[in-house]
Amino acid sequence: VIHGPHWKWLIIGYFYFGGISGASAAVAAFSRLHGGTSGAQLARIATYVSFLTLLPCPVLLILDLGRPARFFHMLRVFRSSSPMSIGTWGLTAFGLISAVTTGLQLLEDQWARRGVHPGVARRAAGTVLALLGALSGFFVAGYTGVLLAATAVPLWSKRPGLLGPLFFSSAMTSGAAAISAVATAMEREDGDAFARLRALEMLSTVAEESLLVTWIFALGPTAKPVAEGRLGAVVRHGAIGAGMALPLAVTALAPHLPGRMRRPAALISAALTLAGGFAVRYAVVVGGRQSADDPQATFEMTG
Amino acid sequence: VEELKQAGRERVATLKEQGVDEARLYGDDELGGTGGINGLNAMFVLNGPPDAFNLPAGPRLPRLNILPAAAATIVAAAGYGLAAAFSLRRRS
Repeated sequence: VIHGPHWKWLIIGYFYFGGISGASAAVAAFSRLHGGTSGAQLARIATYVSFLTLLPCPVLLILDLGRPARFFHMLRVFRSSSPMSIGTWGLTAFGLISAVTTGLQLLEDQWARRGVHPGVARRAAGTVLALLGALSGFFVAGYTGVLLAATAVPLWSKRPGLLGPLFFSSAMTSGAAAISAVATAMEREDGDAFARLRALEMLSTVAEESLLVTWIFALGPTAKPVAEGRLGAVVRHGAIGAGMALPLAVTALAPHLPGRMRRPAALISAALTLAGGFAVRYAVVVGGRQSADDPQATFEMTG
Repeated sequence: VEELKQAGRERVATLKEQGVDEARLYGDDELGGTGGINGLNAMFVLNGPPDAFNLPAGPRLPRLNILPAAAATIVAAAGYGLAAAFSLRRRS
């Protein structure tokens, strides 16, 4: 009945990495602005995670759009009613801010090694960049859900008020997990800022889990592609089970483990959370394609 | 489009006179079953409900979803912003 999206699987990677990058930029900003000394350490890791996960985004998006010219067409035409146009602008702005922030971070690492302390001007620039980074990062993390909700695909458009927040919280959870995975692997997880990040990660996982379950129930029969069959199993076991409930359990148990087991446990928990975040995006995007191919789903919504 | 619409309406009126009570102009903002989006640019004269012809009875503009989705996402982002600001703050 309706035309399905022509996007290929690459768009899932774009949504995923874009979400991690945007969320990491926001974590970096909040840690830098009022996280104290250990917060600055965490912000440093978060800034690099954000920049590195941003790098594949334009590549994935351009490959998915088919040819590079389309990306620039999106920039040429600024349409406030098109989430795709606004999103391309937002991504470009975020990319520029991220590049400058990362450059400044590299400089600061150099200066710190030489024992130079940042002056007032440099600190002010850092604050402005952090605020811009948090705003644009939140935008990049959040707009993809709005974009999907503003299509004719029943699975995506039936409950727009839930899909947007679901994508946003999925981005935050994956972003926090990516930062804690890198910090743990680098054995930089002793500071109290890291403990606060883990708390935020747990909170975000619980929020994402509740939004996902609420969304599926609120969809009713339209949820069929993500509730039954292979994708249903991906959602139940991959996302809700192994990707959210299991890492929460591992993290809750971690303080009771012997000391040398804690680091592997934290890495496993973060890896599971990252996989769960990908499972959510995968199920929503692929399920949307199935939903678009099912005329019954369109009739249920438009009848 | 206006001419087509007029021709379609006349055809439906004729059909109704001939006893086809189910006749309707799909895609018209007044007669058809496509309330809400001010008619379509493609029209069909039907002799039954739109569903029977694989046409959605109440099509909606996807664009109308931007506002609720964006509003909900902004609320979520504000919540996360507060949670992040609160939980990442240095405790003295």
